[in-house]
Amino acid sequence: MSEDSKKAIRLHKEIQHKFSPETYDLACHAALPVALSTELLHLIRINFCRQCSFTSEVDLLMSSLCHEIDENLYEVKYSVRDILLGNLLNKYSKHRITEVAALLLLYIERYSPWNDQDRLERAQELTALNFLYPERAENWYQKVKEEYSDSIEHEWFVAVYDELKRRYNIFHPHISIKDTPFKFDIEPKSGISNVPKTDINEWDLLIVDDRDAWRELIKEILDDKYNCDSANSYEEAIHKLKRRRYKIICANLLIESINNGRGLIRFLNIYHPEIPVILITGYTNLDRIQSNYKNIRSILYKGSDDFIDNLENVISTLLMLDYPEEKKDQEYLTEKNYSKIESEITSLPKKGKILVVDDQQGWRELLEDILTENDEYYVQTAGNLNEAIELLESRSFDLATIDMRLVDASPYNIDGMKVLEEAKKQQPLIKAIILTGYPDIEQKHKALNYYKADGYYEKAPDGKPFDIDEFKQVIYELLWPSESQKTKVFISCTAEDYKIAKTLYDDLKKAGITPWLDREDLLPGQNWRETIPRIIKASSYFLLIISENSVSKRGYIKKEQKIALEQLDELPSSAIFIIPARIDNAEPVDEILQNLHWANLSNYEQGLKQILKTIKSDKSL
Amino acid sequence: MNKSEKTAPPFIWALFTQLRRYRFPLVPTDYQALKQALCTGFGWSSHEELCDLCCTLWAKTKYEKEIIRSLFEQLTEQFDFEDWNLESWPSITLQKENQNRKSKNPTPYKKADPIRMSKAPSRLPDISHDGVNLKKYHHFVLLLQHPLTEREITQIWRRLRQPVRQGPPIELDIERTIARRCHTGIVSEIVLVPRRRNTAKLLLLIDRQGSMTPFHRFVENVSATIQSACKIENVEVYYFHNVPAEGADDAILNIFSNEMFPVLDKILHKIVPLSKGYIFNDPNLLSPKSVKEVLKNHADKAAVVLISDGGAARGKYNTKRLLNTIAFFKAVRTYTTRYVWLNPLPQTYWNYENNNTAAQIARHIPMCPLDQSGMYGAVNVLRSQLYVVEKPI
Repeated sequence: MSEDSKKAIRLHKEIQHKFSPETYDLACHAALPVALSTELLHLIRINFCRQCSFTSEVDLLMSSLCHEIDENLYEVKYSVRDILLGNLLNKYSKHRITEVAALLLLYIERYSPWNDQDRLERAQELTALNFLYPERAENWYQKVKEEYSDSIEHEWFVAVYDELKRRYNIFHPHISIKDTPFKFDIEPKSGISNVPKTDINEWDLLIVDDRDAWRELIKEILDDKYNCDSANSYEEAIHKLKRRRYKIICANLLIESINNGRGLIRFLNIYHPEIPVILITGYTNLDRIQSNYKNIRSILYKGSDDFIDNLENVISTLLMLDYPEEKKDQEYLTEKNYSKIESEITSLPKKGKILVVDDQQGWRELLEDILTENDEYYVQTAGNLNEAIELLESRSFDLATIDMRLVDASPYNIDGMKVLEEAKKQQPLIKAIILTGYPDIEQKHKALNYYKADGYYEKAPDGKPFDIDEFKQVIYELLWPSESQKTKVFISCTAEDYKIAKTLYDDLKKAGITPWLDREDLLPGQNWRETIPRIIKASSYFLLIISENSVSKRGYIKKEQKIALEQLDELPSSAIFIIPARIDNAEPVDEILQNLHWANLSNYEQGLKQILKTIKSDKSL
Repeated sequence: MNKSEKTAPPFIWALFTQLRRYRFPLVPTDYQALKQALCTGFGWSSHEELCDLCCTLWAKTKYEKEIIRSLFEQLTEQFDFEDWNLESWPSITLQKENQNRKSKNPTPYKKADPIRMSKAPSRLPDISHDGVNLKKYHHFVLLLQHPLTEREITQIWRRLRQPVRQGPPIELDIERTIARRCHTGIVSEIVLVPRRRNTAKLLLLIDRQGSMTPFHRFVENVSATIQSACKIENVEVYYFHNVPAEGADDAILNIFSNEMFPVLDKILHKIVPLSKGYIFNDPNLLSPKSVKEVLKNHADKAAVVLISDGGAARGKYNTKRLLNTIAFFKAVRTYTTRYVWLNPLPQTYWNYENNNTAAQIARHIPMCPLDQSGMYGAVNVLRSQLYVVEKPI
């Protein structure tokens, strides 16, 4: 079978899936004319397909089956016309085809729609004649060919002459319909697709789409050339990704819901950034998301004319370019490796994974938005108990915010408690916050004491609006207690004074205090410029080591001082925050620092005692 | 009169049934009426007179007459008048009169030439249609059928009224006359008031080209009917492509950079009225008029109707288009609160299940399908009846 006819079969299959049977019927009729005007299509419908509604005309003209070649002029894709006409012939009879041809001729006679387009008009007339009086069409053609041979090469009908001749033969009564070339084998090639592929671990492509028709269509198109696997849901896709290895993922954006499709892309972006993703979608205007997910290599629109060609091109290009050799040698991800990698990622410092459970789309989106706004957390959302449980089973989370009532309308439920119970059972380390719009003392008590929830927040505390920043702070403190609660003393020093700072660090630790020293506590890969200010702000004390070095030297220590002074500004005047500790005779330049009483570390033991006394006098410790 | 069965031209029944397919409100009595008229001698002198007779009995408007005429021509062309011809009139009593008429009207019926415009000379010979017999296909309908008839459109749009008593006092006010006479106790002068006039103003904005192409004829028909038959004082029609005004500041969309199908609810209050750009006076979009001017002159206290598929035909989602549309309607709002969107596609293309621009627009702006009940609802909106949109602009 030639490449063209293969394409035609694909497109034909595509429109068969897409159209209603009535619209498909209309398409079969509309395949006869060389080109369609909206009026002609309308006349075809009201004469032959009266069971179709007016909108079928629109569906047909706007589909990928039709090209808009001029104003109010559409062409049914040349390659598919034979198949459509063949089906028309099979369904009705030869008589119906001549009727359509007659209508075309009557339409031209009556309206002269293409009066200014000679060639098109001739082509249409010849097409119609060819079905009604084939010998006349042939005679005219031969005559013109002899007498005007020099000027016919630009004629439209010459291009379709072979086609016309073939059709003439097909509809000629001597040939029985069964033998016509229209009998394309358009059934799926069952032999090929049923080959068991379970032993293969190396797959080219994973197609993820929840619509069976599209999944099968794409699979069928690509099955000849590539090893294709398919999944019909987010869960199935993840399941397969855990066991098998793919070179390319071809995913529909809207699997069941937007979130799920996007969830898959996020998942891939985090766990399999090396696998290129081709996003298929029925909607346009998505180019903006491409920049957010580096793994998306291409976005293809299902509706576009050359969807299939594009898909093939993109896949072949990606397979050539984006699959470096070393990746092939990499051990593919077994279940074990997978969880190892997952735990490695979990241990990465700065991104907490949060599950948001809320039945209200608005709240889900709000929470997702505020939690992802600075790229701080990975957020997954669930709208009901089952979704939440599925997510809890398949992924690990650091924190869950759970809406108490998962059905607001009466009879409401408090499935949130079940989610909480399940979360704590499945993932004992998870922090859980109950969020509710319907505060209830009893439930609060139960949630906090019985189910060990870590917080209970009202969506509208005392009628006041929900405080986003406060809520974020709560989450932050729950997730990073090491920074927010235990870090009590921030030690600020220059590199030259590091030795003494380290001694101090160890001694403070021994005394049960949590010190923080950049060289000790800053994790590799952490952005210190962002981390340090946050830690200073979260610290109870700022221990500033003053020396000749620190006073004279310019550097980040000055910046640290500045942040600490700002912090001091916000505290009541009696509060102690900055503890200057002098190791030599240097005096700080800053006036405020001069006014603070300092600990003298030139006598280390005594100085340490002073510092400990100050810190321990704070009863909150 | 029994002969009428035989003598009625055979194509008249075909004409009658076809007209019914065009949703002419014809019943068998109407057919009977024509036959009676034929029996009493009307309509025999020429094809034209027969056609006139059909028009007189069956057509109520000019448009309907046009349909009858074209169908009539089509049918007479296709029929072989073997057992019927004009001379076969049975009644002798009227023969004379007929002949008189014929002599008055010497040009006998001539088949109207098919409308053929002059062609640019071509070197190739025309494809001859001689001997191509299409008569057996006479039952084909070659007139376009719109989803709504002129009659239906007229009935609906007549409801758009703003009656104001204007002009010279010529109508008797009985109540006030009686009241005055009772009050004065004498036969005082009668009270006259001006006649009520419909002062409704309508600004019609029509989307053209692109995905609207299949609707052109239908929408043209709707717009022409509203203009001619609906007794609205002032109907202004302007045309545009996709959106009437373009160039809303899309910087406010930046907060949605993460979202694929941003819902503009959050920034709705930030969108400023937009009346930049041009709309057109003619359906081919050639003579531009500033949107600002048009709104200023024609939208003030008027009813504004916009006919467009809003992107529902192709089912795409275009945030910018949505933004521009909302901004434009905000500008309309500064002149009038009576506006409505008519979508030529049925509601299933743009209801909440869809994720296209039109579905989003329908959340902010009253949108009705361009069918009978939809237009009825639209006129209700224009009559300031309550219409709840999900997120008013």
